[in-house]
Amino acid sequence: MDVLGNLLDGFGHALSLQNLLLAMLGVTVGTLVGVLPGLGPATTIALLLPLTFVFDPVGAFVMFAGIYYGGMYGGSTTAILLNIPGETASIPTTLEGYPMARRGRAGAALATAAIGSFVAGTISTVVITFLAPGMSNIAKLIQPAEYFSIMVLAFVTVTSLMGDSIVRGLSSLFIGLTIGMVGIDRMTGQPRFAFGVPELYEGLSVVAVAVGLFAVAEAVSTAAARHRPAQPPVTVAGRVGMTREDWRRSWRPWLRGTLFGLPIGSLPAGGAELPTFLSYNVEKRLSKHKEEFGQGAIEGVAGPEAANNAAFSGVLVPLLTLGIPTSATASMLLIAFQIYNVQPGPQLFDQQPVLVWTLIASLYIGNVMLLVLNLPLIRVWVKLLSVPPALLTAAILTFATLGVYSISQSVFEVLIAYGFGLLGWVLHRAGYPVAPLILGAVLGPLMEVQFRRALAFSEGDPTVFVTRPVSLVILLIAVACLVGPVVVRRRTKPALPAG
Amino acid sequence: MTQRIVSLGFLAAAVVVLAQAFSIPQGNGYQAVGPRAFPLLVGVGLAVVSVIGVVQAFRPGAAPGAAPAVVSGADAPGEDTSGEGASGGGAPGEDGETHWPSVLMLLGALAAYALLLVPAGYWQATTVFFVAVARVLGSRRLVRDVLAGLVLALATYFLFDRLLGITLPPGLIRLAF
Repeated sequence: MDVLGNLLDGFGHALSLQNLLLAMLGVTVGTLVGVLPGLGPATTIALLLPLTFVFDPVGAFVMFAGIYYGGMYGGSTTAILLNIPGETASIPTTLEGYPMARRGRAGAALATAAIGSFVAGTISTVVITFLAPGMSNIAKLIQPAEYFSIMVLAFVTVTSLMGDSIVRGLSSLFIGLTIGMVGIDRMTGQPRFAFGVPELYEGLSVVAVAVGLFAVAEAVSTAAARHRPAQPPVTVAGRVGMTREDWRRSWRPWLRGTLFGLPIGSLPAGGAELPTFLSYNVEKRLSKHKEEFGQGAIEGVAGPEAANNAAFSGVLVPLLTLGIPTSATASMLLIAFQIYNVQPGPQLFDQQPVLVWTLIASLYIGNVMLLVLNLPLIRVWVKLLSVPPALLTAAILTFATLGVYSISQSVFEVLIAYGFGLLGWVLHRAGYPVAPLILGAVLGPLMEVQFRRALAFSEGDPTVFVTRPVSLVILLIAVACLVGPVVVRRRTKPALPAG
Repeated sequence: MTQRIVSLGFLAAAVVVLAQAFSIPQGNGYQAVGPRAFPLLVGVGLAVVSVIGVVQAFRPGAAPGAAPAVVSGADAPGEDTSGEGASGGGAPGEDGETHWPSVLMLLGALAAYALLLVPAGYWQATTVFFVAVARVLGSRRLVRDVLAGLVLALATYFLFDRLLGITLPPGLIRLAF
């Protein structure tokens, strides 16, 4: 069947009453949790994972599409009203969105974020619809050695783009890879890194690790900072909407943002950080209102928000066609797939056509619902910002525990989650990013499979990764991404203030 | 300071990973590569970056992470453990004092919650835990906290155990409906 036929089929499934309700529920709950301060989209998905548990895979993924977009939109709301980005990609939004809100223009900032996200999300989804099946066919040709190299590239780019120290990022990554190896080796039955603990033979549950690193760590961090005065949210005065002038200044940044976000996000190396920062810098350069930047320029919200949403959609391309997540949020989606015993990758479009196409159709629906639900309801979401932090933290921990326990029925895994919560907080304090850790834990086992396959084909010759030309080129790009930022930083160091 | 301790922690982890990797048997001769190769690769990688990490952390005048060029000028956003981690200017945890009693009490509450979850029952343990965490975080409105905790605990219990069919520990007092 051709793409359009498949897509129509997907809409046929997604538009059933049950799935429409699930999409609506997903968008609503996603926004609800995402709007809570400090909870980014990855945490939102981690906390809401158990809710989708009872549905069939198709229904669950329809809901996930909603949660994905809802969580992201909730994140930009806190960025604008509280100056708290839920994740790195939302930082540019805080730069202009928060000043706008303080000048009484919160309504316009929220509107340009919502409409920009809708525009970018819809364009990106159309492109993905046609791009992904083709990518999937290309992905089928990829041999194990190249697959391994692509994963190395994904790790390197994600690590060097996130956080400020490549060494600390890589340290997190290698710990994540180790976590992924805990348990019985699937090929030989050999226990590894289990320290004789029977509970560890099945491996460390990535759900417990993720919930711990994201949700529990957030709670510990709130406790550690309890004496610091909380920042009251900016109130939304006036109507949520844009003036003619706002529209005139927003539409080009939306399209440019999409142009940055979609291609970069679609690469198995991208993530959402680079395009949002790029978009911010470009809008600043192109704007006729340069003097407004830093004081609340609407272009600085419109561009990065569109770029963020486009990249979020683009990230689904490597996730669905290669099984490679390039952001913490995408890792959470991969975990969700794995819970349902669905392995994204080149075969996904052939093996699970109903699931994939319903998911893609749900992206269209989720985008529309987000716009229809959020603009009118924004005042309701804003009320959530005034929930006392003490109750909020208690609720987060309750849901985190409930999530891990209901998936595993095991107190041991709950304790694992708490342990990783403590670890996540310590790492954060010391300036180590946690996203590479979760990426390594999720992707590590798949990487090892490709590594061993490649060596099996080469009859144990480890030079296979550098003697195959395509693999060599990919690895060289990875080295460049690793060394490049260090060199650039060395060169520009005198210009930067120390520390 | 934190960074120095943590960098040493990573070094210790590297030693453990390498030692464990070497203890994995080579595998039989039929396979080109056994269960040991990948762990060794990861162990060596971790060892290399953790040594560099220690050197960087102990270098005189080492600052806890220079602000990345792109976001310099951005306010370091308060506490942002979620999402993609510790970018966004400086090492976020270092800018304020850590309230250690709260952290320790929270960890104690978590440990107690995990251990009481099954014997005491889900909604019972959750209510107590909710109130305890709220108190640790400075809430002094006991009645409100108890009500909020009870409502949350019972609502999630009924949603998961009765509606979604995910069994949660019933504990001492079984609810009739």
